[in-house]
Amino acid sequence: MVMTVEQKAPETSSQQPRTGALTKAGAGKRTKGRTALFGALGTLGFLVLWEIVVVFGLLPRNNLPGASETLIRSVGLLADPVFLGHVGSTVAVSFLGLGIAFVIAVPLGLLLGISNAAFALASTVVELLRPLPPIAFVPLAVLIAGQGTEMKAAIVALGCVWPLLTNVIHGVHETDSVAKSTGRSFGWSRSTVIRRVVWPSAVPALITGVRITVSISLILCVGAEYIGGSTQGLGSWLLQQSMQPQGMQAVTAGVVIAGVLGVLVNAIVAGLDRRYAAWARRGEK
Amino acid sequence: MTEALLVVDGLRHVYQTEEGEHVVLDGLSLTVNRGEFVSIVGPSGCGKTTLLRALSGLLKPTSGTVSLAGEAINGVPKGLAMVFQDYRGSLFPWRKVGANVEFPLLGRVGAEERRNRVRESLEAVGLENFAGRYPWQLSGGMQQRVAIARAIAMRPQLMLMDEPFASVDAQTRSDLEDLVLRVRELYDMTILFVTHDVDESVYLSDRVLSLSKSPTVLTADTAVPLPVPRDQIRSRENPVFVSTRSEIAQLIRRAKPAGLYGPGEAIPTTSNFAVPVLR
Amino acid sequence: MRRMKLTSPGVRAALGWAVAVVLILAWQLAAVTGESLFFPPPTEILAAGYQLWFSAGLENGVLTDAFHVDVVPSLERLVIGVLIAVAVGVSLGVLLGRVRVVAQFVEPLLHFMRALPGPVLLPMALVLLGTGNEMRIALITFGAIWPVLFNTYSAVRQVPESYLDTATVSRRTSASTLFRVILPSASAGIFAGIRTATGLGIILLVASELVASSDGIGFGLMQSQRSFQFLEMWAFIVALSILGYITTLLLSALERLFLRWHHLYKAVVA
Repeated sequence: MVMTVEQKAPETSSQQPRTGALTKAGAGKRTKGRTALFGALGTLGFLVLWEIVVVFGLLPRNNLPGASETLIRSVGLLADPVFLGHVGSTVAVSFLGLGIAFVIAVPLGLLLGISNAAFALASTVVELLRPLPPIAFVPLAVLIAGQGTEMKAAIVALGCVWPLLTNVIHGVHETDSVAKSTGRSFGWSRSTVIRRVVWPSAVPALITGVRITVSISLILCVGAEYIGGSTQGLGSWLLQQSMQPQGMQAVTAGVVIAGVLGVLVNAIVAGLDRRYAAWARRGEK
Repeated sequence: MTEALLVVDGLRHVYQTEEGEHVVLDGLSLTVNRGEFVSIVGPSGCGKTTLLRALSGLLKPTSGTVSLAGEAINGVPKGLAMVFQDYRGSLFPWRKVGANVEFPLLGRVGAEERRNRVRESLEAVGLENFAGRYPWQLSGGMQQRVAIARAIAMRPQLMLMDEPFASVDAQTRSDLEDLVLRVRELYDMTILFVTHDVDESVYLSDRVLSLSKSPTVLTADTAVPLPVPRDQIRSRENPVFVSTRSEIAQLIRRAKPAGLYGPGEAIPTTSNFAVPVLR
Repeated sequence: MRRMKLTSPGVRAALGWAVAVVLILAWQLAAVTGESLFFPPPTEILAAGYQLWFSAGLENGVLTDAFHVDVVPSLERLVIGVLIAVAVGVSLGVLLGRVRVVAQFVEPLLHFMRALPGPVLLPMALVLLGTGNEMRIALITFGAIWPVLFNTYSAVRQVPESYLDTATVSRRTSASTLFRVILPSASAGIFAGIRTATGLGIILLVASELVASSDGIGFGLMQSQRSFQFLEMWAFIVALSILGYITTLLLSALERLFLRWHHLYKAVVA
């Protein structure tokens, strides 16, 4: 059975002049500045539009708070210990689940990548388990582990383990065979070749896996909070607020903060990628 | 007999960069007659590619005019085909060989006619048995033949070739050179051929145009009085070949940017055959 | 000799399936002897699922009324939600990939929207859009659209300039260039986005069926758990898993149809 790998298309930034080769040399800075300016204008335009839509009541149900109101409330929420506690819970559980998946997927992926026999034995089972929607197992996890951290972390781990596993296997399989032969020509043992050649080659694929799974982990954690009926976490907090009269302002402000949180997490992982996988991305534009 | 097909007049192109203006083409004029095989050679970085992009309508020059068969070019003209250096980048990997050759004809030529032209063009380059393969299943030389077949299928008045054989090995290269000569004979085609290889330009052409370094002007227009048909061994041993080649090679070695020639200074043309081009 | 055997695809597949069957048999055996409430034997789960959804009899079209309440609404929501996401995501992705200025204006916003974990929008969607089918479909679409949009955007921007030059020199119209050059060239990236989008769509489907709903797989799953009907709960888990398989198989089939060249091409070029 062929393993298909979940891969993220390489990130592209918007500053690539596509005109002649000659414009590339100096135009980078100017384009970058313009991109930032246009981006700021676009965002501002969106906020103004939002405000107008709300002020003039252009929505069918007039219960969306305006942009200014929402942003002010968002800033207020950042100083609200109760809210921060819920956000902290979501982040902590997501990373716990991701960590569990990592600890399982990396050794297993190396084993399945290196050993043909292990791969032949396990690949069908992996292919059968991988498409299972992790969210389907929330009720079972609630029965076994309750509605708290353990249940949510287990669901996150279940969803994150497959992208990590397939990416590690893919990374090992993609190891340059010339590099492996070079290692062997130095008289290195099998384990030394694995440590010095195979593992470093697999790291960029692993980081790609992490890039995919950080977003998945947050999504699954919030999903598990709802479905599992958890009382802790951003999702639970939002659901509670939405049931209160005039709760919409808090909900919208919370969503804005959730987006900012997502952007931050993505930026951290993109930084990791630049630090540890730059060599493998050299061919990508 | 000598009807001008392509007329380039005062072509000038300037790129805007952070440091200011960069003049690539500085008032270039040339003419290609119908039925002629003309090569353009020049030192690397002399704006050959910019020139060809301007001629094919891919790039709008800063000033100057290009006309094909008496009509000024604005955008990509009818009756023009182009063969790029990078055959991998110009053949679509999702289309089979036949479908790649057919691509420029889609929506323009009836299905029956398309089939005929595809078959005929592939026969002309000796790939009639490969229509059902994907281009990337073929060798580099064969892929470039597919690109040539696609150009033929368009039945162009003028075929532009941008260093088409720069990325194939030497043996394949001489095969492809003879293929181009054969195709030209067969379809009575006018070809403008850009290369950095002086030998290749002399071997193939009726006329060789030499360019200066950037900012680029035309420095010489050298006729190649080699007998036809050409032959890879005999033509290259011909004293005319040897002398023409060394003339052009010297011109290129001495080529300097247009601005560096003094007002009274003659642009170097020591050749018996080369006609100095006056600015 | 052993290595040679392992490389034969037939032997590998047989071995792989043998392991899978052994594991299921082990579960069956453990469940029958252990009598755990939470892990009923697979045979009983299948029987329960059959009883629930497929026991109407041949003359009544096999599917029971429960099937139309539990499964059909979910399928509708997922298919409509994901299809809208694909249509809008691909269109916007192409637009942004081709028109740089527009991309510059909206890029920060799009990064924000994509980073937003989809399920957090559920409470907002409830208040803004109510508890009807539109809310659930909108939630699925909103969660699924970003991977499609970003992958399309990124893939369209990576269409080699030489392909576009070739199209221009062949005097293609912009529509012809779009459908015959840009979309085929970007198709692998677009497909990767659709795969991710479908996975997210299933998560959002289940989440959206939790609140104020009376039908769908998500609803049934929760109901059976709350009423301690473990066999039924497992039947719903299996149903969701089968939904996962079907979408995976469907996408693989589509990929084989449209991207056969791409897999062969990658194998040759790499």
